[in-house]
Formats: sequence, C-alpha cells, structure tokens
Amino acid sequence: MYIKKKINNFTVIFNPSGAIFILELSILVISDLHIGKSHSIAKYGNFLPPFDIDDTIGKIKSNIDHYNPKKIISLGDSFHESDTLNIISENHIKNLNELFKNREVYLIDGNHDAKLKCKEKLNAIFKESLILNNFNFTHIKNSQSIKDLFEFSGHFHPKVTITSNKIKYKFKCFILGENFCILPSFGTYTGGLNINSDVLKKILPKKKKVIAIGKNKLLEI
Amino acid sequence: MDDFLNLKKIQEKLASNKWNLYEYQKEFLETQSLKKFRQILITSEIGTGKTITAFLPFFSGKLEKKKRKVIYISPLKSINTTLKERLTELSSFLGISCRIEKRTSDISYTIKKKQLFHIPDVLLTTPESLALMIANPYAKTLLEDTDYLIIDELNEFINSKRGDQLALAISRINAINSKFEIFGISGTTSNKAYLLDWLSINGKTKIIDNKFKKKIKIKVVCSKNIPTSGHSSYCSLKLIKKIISNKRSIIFVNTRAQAEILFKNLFLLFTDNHKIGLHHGSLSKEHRQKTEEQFVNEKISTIISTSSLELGIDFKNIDQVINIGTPKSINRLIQRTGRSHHFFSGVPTSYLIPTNKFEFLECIASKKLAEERKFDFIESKNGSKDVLCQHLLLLACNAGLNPIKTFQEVKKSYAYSKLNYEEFLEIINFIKDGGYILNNYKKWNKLNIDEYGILKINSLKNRIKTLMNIGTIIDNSNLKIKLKNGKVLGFVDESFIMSIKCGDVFTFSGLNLICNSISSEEISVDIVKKKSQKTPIYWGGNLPLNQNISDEILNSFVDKKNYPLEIINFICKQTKVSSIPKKDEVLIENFPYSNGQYLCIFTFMGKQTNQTLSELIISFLKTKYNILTSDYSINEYSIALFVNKNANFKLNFLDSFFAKKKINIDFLKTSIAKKIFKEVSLITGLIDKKNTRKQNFVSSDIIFDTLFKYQPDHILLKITEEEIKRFFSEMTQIDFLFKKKIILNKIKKPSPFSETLIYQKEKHYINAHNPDNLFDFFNN
Repeated sequence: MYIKKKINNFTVIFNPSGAIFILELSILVISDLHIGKSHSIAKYGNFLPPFDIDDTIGKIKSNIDHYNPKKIISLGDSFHESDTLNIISENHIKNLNELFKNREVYLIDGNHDAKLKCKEKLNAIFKESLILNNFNFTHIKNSQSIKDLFEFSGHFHPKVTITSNKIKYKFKCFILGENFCILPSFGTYTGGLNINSDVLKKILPKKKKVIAIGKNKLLEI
Repeated sequence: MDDFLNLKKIQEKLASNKWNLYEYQKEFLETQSLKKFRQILITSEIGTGKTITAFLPFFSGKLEKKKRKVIYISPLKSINTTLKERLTELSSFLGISCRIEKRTSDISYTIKKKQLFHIPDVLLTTPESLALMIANPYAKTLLEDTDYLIIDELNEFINSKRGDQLALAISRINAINSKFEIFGISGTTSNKAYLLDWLSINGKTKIIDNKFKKKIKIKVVCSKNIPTSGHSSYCSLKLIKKIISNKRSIIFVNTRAQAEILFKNLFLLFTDNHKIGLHHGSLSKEHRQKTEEQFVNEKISTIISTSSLELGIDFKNIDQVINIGTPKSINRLIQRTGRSHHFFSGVPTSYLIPTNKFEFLECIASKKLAEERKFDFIESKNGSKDVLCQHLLLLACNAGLNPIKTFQEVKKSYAYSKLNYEEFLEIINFIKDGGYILNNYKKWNKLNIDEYGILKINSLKNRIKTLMNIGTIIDNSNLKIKLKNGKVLGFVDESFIMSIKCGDVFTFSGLNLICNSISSEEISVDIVKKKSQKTPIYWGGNLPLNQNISDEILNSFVDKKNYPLEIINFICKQTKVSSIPKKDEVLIENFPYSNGQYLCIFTFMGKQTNQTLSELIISFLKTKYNILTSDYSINEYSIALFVNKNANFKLNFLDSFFAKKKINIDFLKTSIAKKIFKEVSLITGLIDKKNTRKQNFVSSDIIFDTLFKYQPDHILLKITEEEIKRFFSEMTQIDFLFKKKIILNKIKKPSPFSETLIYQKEKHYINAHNPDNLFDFFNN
C-alpha cells in the first residue's frame, strides 16, 4: 500500500518501508540507516543479533527492485560510526556497492557519519547537502525555509502515538509540512522520537500531516 | 553423642530462662544432631518461632565454644532490623558472644569488604547479595567455612527466578564446601514434596512439620457506598478510620500507588494525634528505616505498607491487620494476619476491605479458604535458563568456569537437573560472543579461554558490567525523586516521565511535590501545600490470584443471603442484565464499547487457562471469520477481548470453536512473546538494565523480530519459548473447558461483572506483531 502526493508538481510516493520515491525524477530517498549500530553496541559487551545490516540492505534492495531508481539519496546517518566501514564485513560493503551499481548514489553527511573513514570503499558521492529540481536534501531540517525549495530531511526518527481503547500504540512516521518532509529512520535497529516530544514540538509547525508506518500499510492521520 | 549432650545443654539453658522449646523445635534439634540428613525443611504456621528454630543448632554449637558460621537468606530486599535484634538478645541470653551482620544492597561497600576478611558468625543476606559473592574471589573463605545455610520463607520464592538464582548459588557453594547443612523454613503449603526435592542437593531432605494450627480471626467488612469497579480505597476511608482509631494496626495494600493515595487521604482525615506511617519498596532506605523505628517506639500507631512489610517482621503489640483488597493468596492472607498478635498465645486478627463489589466475593472466598487452611499449591518450575546465563557470567568473573565441571555442578541442583549439555554449551557461546550464525563479534569476545579450557571474563569493564546487571527482578523504578537540598526521597518508574511535566504536582512519600525539572535520571522537586493531581504508577504491581480462590468465588454466588445489601443488589443486577455462571457453564457477554465491542468470557479456571484460551480464540476469530482483536485483558476468572465493531457474534459460530479438538499454540507468536523476550534480554544481559548511552538503545521488540527472522533456533528464543510456556496451561485444562455449556448474552452495555474486568489496568496488545491489523481496526 502506498500514498501518493503531488509536491512541486512531482509525484512523491510514500512507501511503508520508510522510503520515498519521486516518480518523474526516479529518485529513491531513504534516511538514517545507521548501518553498523549492532557492532557499536557489541563493543560495550551487548551482543545483539548481528543481522541488522543484512536486514537494512535487504529493505533497500526490495525498494530498488520495485522502483528501479536512477538516483538514490540517503539523508545522513547512513553509518552509525565514523569507523563503521572498517568494522563491518567486506561482504556487506560488496552488497551495498552491488545495489549502487549503475546508479547515482548520494550519501548526505549526518551527525554520526560526517567524519566517515574510508569513504572510497563505496561507489557513492558524499555531500553535505544537495539541491535537485527545487528539492533540497539535507540531514537536519533547516529552521528557516529556503525560498521555493521543498526540503527532505531525516535525523529525528519521528514516531507517532495512536490511542485506542486507552492503549498507546507507537509507529514510525513521515511528517509532512507545507514545504518540508521529515523521513522516518530506515535502519532496522533504529528507535524513534515522539512527535510530541519537546525537541520536535519546537521545530514543527502546528499544521502538518503525519503518515504512520505499519508493516505493509500506511495510515494518514 | 557429643552433639546430643549439647542438645540437652541448650534446652536446660533455655529452660532456666523460662523458655521451653516446642515439640517441633525439640524434634528439629534432635534430628539435626544425628547428622543423618544434610538438609532439613521446617514447616510451620505463623507466629511459632520457626526462624529462630533454625538458629538453634548454631547456638547449641556456640555454647560448646565451637566455631560455627551461618548464612541466613531471606527473600526480603531489606532484611528487617528485628531479626538481628532477636538473635542478639538470644545470644546474650545464652551468654554467647557472636557477631551478627547484614549484607544487602543497603550495606556500604566498605563494610561488605570487611566482612570477607573478618567473617561474622551470622551473615544475614538476600539471594542477590549471595549471588554477587559467587563472583567475588575474596568471598571464597566465607563460603567454604559456612556450617549452616538457612533459607527463610522458602515457599515465597522457590518457584521464581530468584529461587533459581539461589539454587545456582547453592550449587556453587556445594562444589567448594563439603560440610554445610541447609535448613529451609517455609509456611505450610499444600505440596511439600516439591520443597523437599528442591532442597535435596546432598541426599534426601528431612521434614519437620509443626502441625499446630493457630486460631486466626478474619473479618470481611465493606462500606455502604462500595463502587462497582476500580481499586480505590476512597469510599472506605471512614470505615478504615473507625477500625484503626485507638489501635495499633498495619494496613496492607497491593500496590505502591494505592499506598501513597491511602496515606494522603487518611492523613487528612485524622485531626487528633493518631499518627500514620508509610512503607513501600520504592521509598528511600532512610525513610523506610525511620518509619519502622517510629512504629516500634509507638510514635506512630498505623503503618500503611505494601508487601514490603509482609514477611518475618516482628513488631510487637499489633492489634490488627487491615487488608485493602484481597492479598490474592491464602498463604499471604494468613501471613499478613499473623503480623498481629505475633506471639504464641495471641489470636491474630485481620480485616478484609474490598475496593469493589466483585472483590467482596473474592474476600469472602479468601476468608473461607484461610479459615479452612486450604493452603496455596506451589507450582513447581524448572530452573530458568536466563538466570543460568547470569550465573555462568558470575563464575567467569571469579576463578573461571570449566564447562564440563560446571555442567555437573549445576545439574546437582533440582531446579536444573533436566539441563542438557548441548543447550548448556549454546548458553556459554551466547555469553562469550552472542553465539550467532554470523560470527561477527569475535573481536569483542567477553570471555577468554586458557590452556586448560577455563573460561574467564577478559576485562575489568566487562566484569563491572556483569555485576551491575545481576538480579532477576525487573523493576523499572530507577528514576530518582530528589529535593532541592539533594535528599533522595525514593524512586519511581521511568515511564512516569511521560506523564509529567514541569509545574505538575504529584504525591510521593506521602508528600505533595511540585516538579521543578526532569532529566532522564531524576526528577527534581519541592514540597508544596497545593493539592496533587497525580500518583506515580509502578510496573508489575499486580499480584496474581491463587487458583483455589477463583474456584471458591463460584460458590460464593450461592450463599448470598448473609451478604450486605449492596452486594446482594450487585449479584441481582448481574442476574437481571445477564446471568450468573454455574459450575458447568461458560458465560460469554457481548456488548458494544468505544470504537469496537467487547467479548467477555467467564471461565473461572485460572490465569493460565485463560491465557491459553484467549490466544486460541483470537487466532480462531482472525483466521476463520477475519474478526480482529486489538487488545485483551485477562484475570483469574475471565477474559475480555476488544474486537472490531462490525463482527456479529452468534452462539453457533463460537460453538464451532468449542467443538474443536486438536489445537497447537505457536508460543513465539503469542501476544506475550515480546514481553517475555524483554525480560529474558534484561536478565541474560543482552540489553542492560540501566542504559547509559541512549543513542545505542535498541528496543527489545525490534531485536526479537530480527532474531526471529534470521536465526529462529537461537538459544535466546529457546529460552524465551520455555518462559512463555509457563503462562499457558496444559491442553487437558482446555479440553475440560470445551465440555462446558456456552451461554452467550448479548447486552447493550457492560454488565456488573464485565465492568470489573474491562477497567482493569493490565492489558495486552495483540497487534504488536503486525501493526497492519491495527490500521485495519482504526479504519473499520
């Protein structure tokens, strides 16, 4: 199940995996993969199941198989630590490059991976931010909107709470404003921040749409 | 012979001080002196001095100037001060000099360290503190030299994870100490064989059973305006006031929040100098100790407490005990009642005050069973393997563990006697580097193997982390409540952060507090006069109801003529709008509610059967009729399913469910799987109890999904499955249920019985596994 929206005269498709596809430009946008988080945690002696990288890569792959995008943009925090590319197995890097083959891949800097080491291992272009056809792609939402630009960002891992029969259910979500969209975190081991938390309340306008993510379904609130 | 002479000596000595031993105490001393059994179980009712009895061999040896060392283990977080006093009193009585010291989480590091080198004669400790000693190389002498291990209130925790932890610690002591004897102390239960097996680590265990039955008085009283649902004691305040005036009482409540609220309300009600104190596990150590002291010194005459004061406390001159709501177990009710007139000749008295109309019936049932001494049945349990993970890490922190030897050592304990070696190795691999098919974590290995195959923890960092995570009680209340001057009032549940903001006023420690600032570690507060709007709610406050009470409730409907008018009306109303289930019937009520409808099923067959049944019905409704359930709650007598409003229930299609014969449950796919996995993750140390690096937090639900998808046969999921199974009943129970007659009552709004059920706090969500179903539910 998908939700389609017209933004800047382009068709933007919201996918329940947490990705966005801009149809006419053939761009797949994802955010906050946090690849290597399990390793970073293992360093402190907590051995979480190390399948998160495969799972995250698998989710990217199914999006690529579905949309066959010309361009892929990851909106920062693609890797959990600056050392990640040295720590994760060569196989994982190979798998990533396989996905990136014959496509233009832009990895935007996030707070976790701005100082990423061994960038040359990946067939990707590293950017602080990127402007394409009136769209601005960046990690953290700018506090002031830039004229005529619609902005895609990540960083906050937004989550929404829905109450039913006095029980609070939490879902990852997209936040859609007049001229911005914050994507949910895409990585398997990523948590979330409630859209009603003080941090997000401060930066979000009153008027906004929220699209909650299920497993294969979306719910617009 | 030598020991037999000692025996006479202690009896004479005690008799000269006008203390004659009871028959069972003599029997115990004699049996012990013969040294035929390495373990003895003493079972006896309340108020017959059974704890002191277990110390008699120690005193007897001491009289002979022999070196004797005791470790005493109690399930209480803070061992009460009175036991130490009583032992000190007795030793001076007998003219013995001995050192009696406590070793719990309340004791400072310096004192604990000193105890290891200057070993006290009697060490009073808890299962957790004992487990930590297993990891400490300097505690070796202490454990090796122990003559007697005394385990108090065995029936209270034998079949819990704390019991498993203790069983493992004992198996370790058994490996390094060839002489120690175990004296188990237990209240009376209906199945002693399990307790005996559990204790039998070196040959058979002898039982000393004091058959003496003490008279107890239990009264059920209820206020005229008792509400239909909820657990508020508000309507009973005047009644409570009347009962406690001019008397010394302990008021037991079932949750910490109830304690806070009742304290506040009673405090406002008494204008004269009737002083009330508050006692529960989340209050600071200082507060708890002060309250205990003031009560002993008769500065306060009523104390409001949760189970924190239930066991072994020996306050003198208590006139009565008051229970707000039933204690949910017959043993607990007798135990609590025994806190009053806690000496041999007194008649312990307690009041049961129901907080809602249905609970009145629970109180009547409890009273009857307690008077008939229908003691709880202690369900036996295999040792949990998440606790074993902790134990193995503890061993690795000390001299290291040899897999083969440790395996044999652990298997000697009854709880772990069924362990198999393959699984044991999987557990070792898990603690070493996670034990995943992707062998990713080799470089962060926690254990080193030396040339003899001994596994040892490899860094101080990992050692400290292991010790920090020890313990099997999962308690989220570690958010500090702090005054401006730095004084810590106590702790509340972490989730309390979500429901509070700066400027809010809430009740804690009996005070009205205004919230100044909130961080992830503490809430900074000021004391104000303003009325409070909130009370913190704690995780895991609900006590499970014992099965026999729920059976008895069915009987209680019948002889209603002696009940107060309010209760008779309540039962009549239920009969009028729906019906009262008979013994061979299952009553189902169906009514619309909020954005869906409820299906309430009254089985009166216990929590496990209800858990099993709800799991089965939910999947039956989904697969056969595509009816979605969004959440459900269960208790001992009933189930409430919240389902989507379009479904139209007819008697015959539920019939087709009840006609079913063979049913399998996929335990890892049940609605409680993720909840259990979280507990297993915390106990095994997969995730930390206290997360200090927020950015490295991963929710246990996501970990579960990932592991289930990529390595479903991983040891953690095996452990989880075993733990889940405990919540489910045998299929024979379900078969029994299928033979009953189904009564379906379609009604317009909740019946009196259903109302009690659907306002219950603890709910399970079904769709934690697949949120899409929930979206369908919202859209319906």
